[in-house]
Amino acid sequence: MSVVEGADECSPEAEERALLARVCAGDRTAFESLYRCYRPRLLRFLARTLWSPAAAEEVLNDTMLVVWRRADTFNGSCKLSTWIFAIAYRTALKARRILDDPSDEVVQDEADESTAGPEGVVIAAQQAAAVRRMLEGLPAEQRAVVELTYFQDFSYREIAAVLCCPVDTVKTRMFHARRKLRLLLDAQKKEIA
Amino acid sequence: MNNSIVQLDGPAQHEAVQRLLPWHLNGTLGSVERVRVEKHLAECPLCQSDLEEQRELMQALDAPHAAGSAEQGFAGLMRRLDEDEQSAAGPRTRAAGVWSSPHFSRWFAVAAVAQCAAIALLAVVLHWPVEGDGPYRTLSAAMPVRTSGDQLVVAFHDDASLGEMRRALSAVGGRIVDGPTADGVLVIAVPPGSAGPAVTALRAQLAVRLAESLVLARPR
Repeated sequence: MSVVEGADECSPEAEERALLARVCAGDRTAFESLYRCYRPRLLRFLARTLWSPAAAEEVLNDTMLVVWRRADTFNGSCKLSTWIFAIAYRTALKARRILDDPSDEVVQDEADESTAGPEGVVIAAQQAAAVRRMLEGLPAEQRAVVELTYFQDFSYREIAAVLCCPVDTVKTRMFHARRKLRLLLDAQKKEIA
Repeated sequence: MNNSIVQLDGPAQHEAVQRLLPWHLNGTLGSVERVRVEKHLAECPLCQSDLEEQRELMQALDAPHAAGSAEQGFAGLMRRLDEDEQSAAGPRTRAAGVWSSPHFSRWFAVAAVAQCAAIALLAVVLHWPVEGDGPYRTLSAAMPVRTSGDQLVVAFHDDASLGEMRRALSAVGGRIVDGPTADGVLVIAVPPGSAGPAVTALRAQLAVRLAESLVLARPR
């Protein structure tokens, strides 16, 4: 197993790798810990890629089933998060081919009434709708780069590994995405003013 | 001076740094690139303002996301894992995973029906003004030529969406003048003289299974 940055003995990466080693041995408790660790990040990433919380949950489960079955194939040449997100991205792409353009009513479920009052739900839904309007102006590949950079703190090399494309492609996608998002954000500000 | 830093001239350096700014912002640049970006940022007001704009953009995009219950999620995953391991003992008739879950099967059925309906609607709507109240004709009947301009035959993959088809056709200025045949082949009219480039452009589309020109070479 080769050494990668951030894999020293006490780092989160080292802890996650220790969990994966136990998953390899069929330890379901370790699998649950790994699942809980990745669930929020993966759900957010998948929801942004698929625009459907229900489908995101299904694709998350499918991703984690691959992690369970293929844990022994992780060779340590990249971070564990890069490996897991790459599985999630490929699974999401397959799901997108079937789902294509999900309908708006599915996305309205995104606001969680159990943790926010009615007003909070409305505000969260409005924010989510505004973000959705901005991001849906981008191709899925550019959305994935934006999400992995701004909200998952991936380096451009890690993103290239997740999306299985050259590093320069990642930079170019981000460049175009930023330019377009800037225009959309300005338009949104004018609309509000 | 660090010899490992590639020295670029002004505009090239500026462009290279602009492309690195998102990862400067998330703190994942290596030390060499970080030094290069910080040095340039200190003397470039454009990049400073670009960095501020990106912070604003990040804030604007950071809408809350409801994640639901991890307990329920993991319980569902365990059920699938158990089912999968049980079925692995017997013959497997299909791949396990998201495609085989009841929920996703429902999605798939809805998506498939919706796509079929959309394709049928597109064919009817685009067909109507050209066909009028013409005689009944089977799908496999010969396709008459009835428009000026060049014509192509095009077929899309079964999983192509209505949006992909619309984009592919509008990119070449095409409109459906006949079809689909029983094999799903459409006859497309494109502007006169554009059959060659249109075929090339359509073949480059992932959604397109077949694109051929119906324009015959003129005898000398």
